[in-house]
Amino acid sequence: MHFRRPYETWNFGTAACPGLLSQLWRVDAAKQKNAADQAEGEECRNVEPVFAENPDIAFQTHGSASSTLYEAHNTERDRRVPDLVFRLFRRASNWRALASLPAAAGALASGCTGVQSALDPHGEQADALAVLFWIFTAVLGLVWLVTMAGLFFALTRRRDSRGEPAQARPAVKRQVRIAFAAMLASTVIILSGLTVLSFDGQRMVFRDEAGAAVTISVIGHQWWWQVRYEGNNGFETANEIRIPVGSAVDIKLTTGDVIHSFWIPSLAGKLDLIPGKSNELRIQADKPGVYRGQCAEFCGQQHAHMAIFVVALEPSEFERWRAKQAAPARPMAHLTKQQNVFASAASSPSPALSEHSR
Amino acid sequence: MSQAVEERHETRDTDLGDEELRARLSKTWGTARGLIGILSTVDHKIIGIRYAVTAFVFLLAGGIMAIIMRLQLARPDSHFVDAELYNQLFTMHGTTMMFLFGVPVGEAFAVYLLPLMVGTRNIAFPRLNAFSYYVYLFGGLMLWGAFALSIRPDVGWFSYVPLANLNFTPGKGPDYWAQMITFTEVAALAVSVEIVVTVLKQRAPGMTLDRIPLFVWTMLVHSFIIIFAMPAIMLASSMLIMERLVGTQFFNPDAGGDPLLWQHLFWFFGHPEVYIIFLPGTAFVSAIVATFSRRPVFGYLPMVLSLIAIGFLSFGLWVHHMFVTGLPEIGAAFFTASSMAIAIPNGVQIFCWIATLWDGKPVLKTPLIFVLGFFFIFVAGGLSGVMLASVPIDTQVHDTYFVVAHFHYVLIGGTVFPLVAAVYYWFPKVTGRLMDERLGKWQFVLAFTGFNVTFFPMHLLGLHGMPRRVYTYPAEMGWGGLNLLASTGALLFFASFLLMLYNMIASARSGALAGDNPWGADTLEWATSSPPQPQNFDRIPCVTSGSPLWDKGDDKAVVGGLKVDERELLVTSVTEARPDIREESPAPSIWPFLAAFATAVAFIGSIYTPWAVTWGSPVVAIVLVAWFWPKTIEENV
Repeated sequence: MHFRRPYETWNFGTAACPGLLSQLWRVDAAKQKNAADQAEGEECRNVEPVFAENPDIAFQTHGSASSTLYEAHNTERDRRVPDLVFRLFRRASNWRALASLPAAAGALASGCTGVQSALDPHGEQADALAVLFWIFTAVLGLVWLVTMAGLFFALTRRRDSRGEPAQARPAVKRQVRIAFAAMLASTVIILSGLTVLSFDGQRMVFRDEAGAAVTISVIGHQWWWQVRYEGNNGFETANEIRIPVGSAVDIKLTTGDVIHSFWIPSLAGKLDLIPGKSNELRIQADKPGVYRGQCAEFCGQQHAHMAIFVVALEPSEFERWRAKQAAPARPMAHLTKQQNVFASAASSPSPALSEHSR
Repeated sequence: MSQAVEERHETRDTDLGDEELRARLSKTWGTARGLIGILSTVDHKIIGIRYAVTAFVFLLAGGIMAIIMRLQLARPDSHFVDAELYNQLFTMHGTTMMFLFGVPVGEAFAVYLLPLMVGTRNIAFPRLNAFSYYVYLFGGLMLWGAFALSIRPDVGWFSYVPLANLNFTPGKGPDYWAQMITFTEVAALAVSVEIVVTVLKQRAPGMTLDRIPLFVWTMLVHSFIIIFAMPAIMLASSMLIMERLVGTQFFNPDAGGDPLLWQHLFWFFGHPEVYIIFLPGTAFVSAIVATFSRRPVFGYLPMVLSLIAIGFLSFGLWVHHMFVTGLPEIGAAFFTASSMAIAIPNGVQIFCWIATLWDGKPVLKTPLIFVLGFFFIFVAGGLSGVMLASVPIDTQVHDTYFVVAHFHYVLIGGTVFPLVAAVYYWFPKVTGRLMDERLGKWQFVLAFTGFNVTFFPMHLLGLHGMPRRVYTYPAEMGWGGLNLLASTGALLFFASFLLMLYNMIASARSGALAGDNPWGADTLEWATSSPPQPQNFDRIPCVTSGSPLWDKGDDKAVVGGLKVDERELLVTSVTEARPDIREESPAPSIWPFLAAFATAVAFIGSIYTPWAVTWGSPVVAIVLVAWFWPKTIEENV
């Protein structure tokens, strides 16, 4: 098995984990473009992992192509109507967009909900979950409105007599009883309906089909992800998973230390990594692109910085990349040196981290 | 012997006129002056006020933690606090709000109000009541004292293993956390036992089970939930302490343990805990809605049955906190159904309250306004809870800010808004003065706006992928705007509590005099003076309906025959509340305080060495022997 990590050229000397993420992201020059461009929602995706810069390491397939991946995202997203409501909210709360109202209007057409959004699905499972979420939101939102309308009506309805003294045993009116019974019955019906919908959606999450194209082991560590491609020519990466577009990929989740949770919102729901237990999650990406995720279970001091990227490539590109990764490694000398830097740079040594670099 | 009795000339309340009776009872039931007197008191009203004040101090402390966190999160990549401190802050915030504020504040109101509402002179086991308060106080002081000394738990209010194990979290933080749990559990269990006995055995004659105020029913269910839920967390926290102190392996998979065992035990307590905190809120709402609608709450029977259903169902939901741990499909599906089901009794309560308002003549005073805020917020929180009950949706929103938004909608909307309403509502009973209405309405505007501006955006943040418990986030994530909005709201919300504090202090000094029953309410606590005399009632009232103060006629029936110069109260039958026996109620004693102190020393010592349990137990035992040392009892003849 060959070890090859895309982060081998990162400068770990400057900071420990807090610096990890800022190393991972490079804000594209486009970010400095004028406000109108920004408001069109491009800034949401025009960040790219720094490893794209480094043709020497594994990721030479993209170089400039990665920005087109993001654009593919944006157009794809537009067919999802409920997102429109969402963009409104996001935009309304973003004072920079408010500063340029015309641009904000443009945002309605092409805006986005962020780089790591459950409402911006790009995979089969995330799609189904988003649809289910919107159905629940619509039904329950309606229930809330009806309840509030009832409350409003109760408070403002015209009363026959005012200043009537308190009554210990008022005669309960028939219409109140009927309304109460109707509300109760509809509560039961609505909840039953949602339960059935939920069960249906759950099958999707738990679906156990054989024949995933790729099986990848992900091992959680404080505070990084070890990614192991299984098979004869297995190899490892860290904090980055590459998958072929359009194929199901099984992710086996285990942990090397504490409980973590693997979550790529645009592709699928989350699943925990628990000591002594192996969980399996199936993901699939519809379009090429970089999908960000991060650990969702509190796992210690730098939990906030435990991010992971899923890079979905066209199958042919994926195969090329995989073949290159599986090829015999170059001399390991510089890698060993890098790992030492990694260990010494950790400002608050965790047992797992130092153990690993040993 | 019989001669001795005659010589002592027992005075009964039937022998005296109103003025003299009041003076003598007040002397019998009063609290002595001086430090020893203050520490020895067993008056449920004094202890209830101490409970409430302590809980409010912890509320402010937890609130300040929240504000610091919101300042940190207001901007991306912020360095206002570092990761270490942030993790300590959210741990202390959650722990304080759940264990040192949420649970005790409900008990505070129950301890103060229940004996008044059921028409008795003191709570059952009043010394145990004093003991429970001191244990709670010492537990809270211990946690915050350790915090001040930089011994700070930082693994969350849930302390998941293995993160909370010694090899990942050295230092004493989690030990203090676990031991604080033990303190508050002991206190909560003690209060619950008192409440159950008070409600079942000390009700005024004629207050049959179907005439108990809904407030009392709610607190009864609340107490039973505590009695059945708390042992699970006590077991769990003890296991955690042992894991850390003496190297047991309950949660280590390599040694045959299971980290999920912790989660099961924790949430088996943790979900009922939500209802332990929420039910007092519904108790306040029931009381306030009835008073300000000028009607008893619509559907007494459905209300009571809903409460009992909530009590049972709350124990069948805990797994929905663990949907993403990789449980079997059928197992998870069962808990979806049970979590959905608890929305039904909650819905029944909401509908009953709305029906009451519809039928009655609502008077829009501050307490009712806060209750209306409760409807707006709590219903939204309950409905987002229905979303979380669904396994597939939960896989996306679990452990994100969506959940943070949801449970703040439920807990603040469901408990804190009714709590503020309750403060405005019962303040005149406790102090004899009304709180300022105008400030109250301003406070509502501030609190309602602040709350929604803080927590509504968090739903969106969670859906945009922001996980909980992150101390910062990169600017590129696009979460900056909503976070800034939330932080602004948090400041408004915090300000509303400062306004309430000001209103309370100012009104206690110079508020309008309230009189016995300023709101024209129907329950017995309003039948006595404001503030009540130490004996609560000069003559024990007789109850003939569910709304005793709204009955026609000016003459109120009372029962007589209790001794005047000794602490004596009436014990009645469980269902019919028929007078059964006269029972002596314990007099003030310093021993509960000393017992709590000895217990605290033993608990804190056990954080450092298991021998503290061995050496502490005999000391506690000695104090308890002194506490319960039999006195020469003269039998009532």
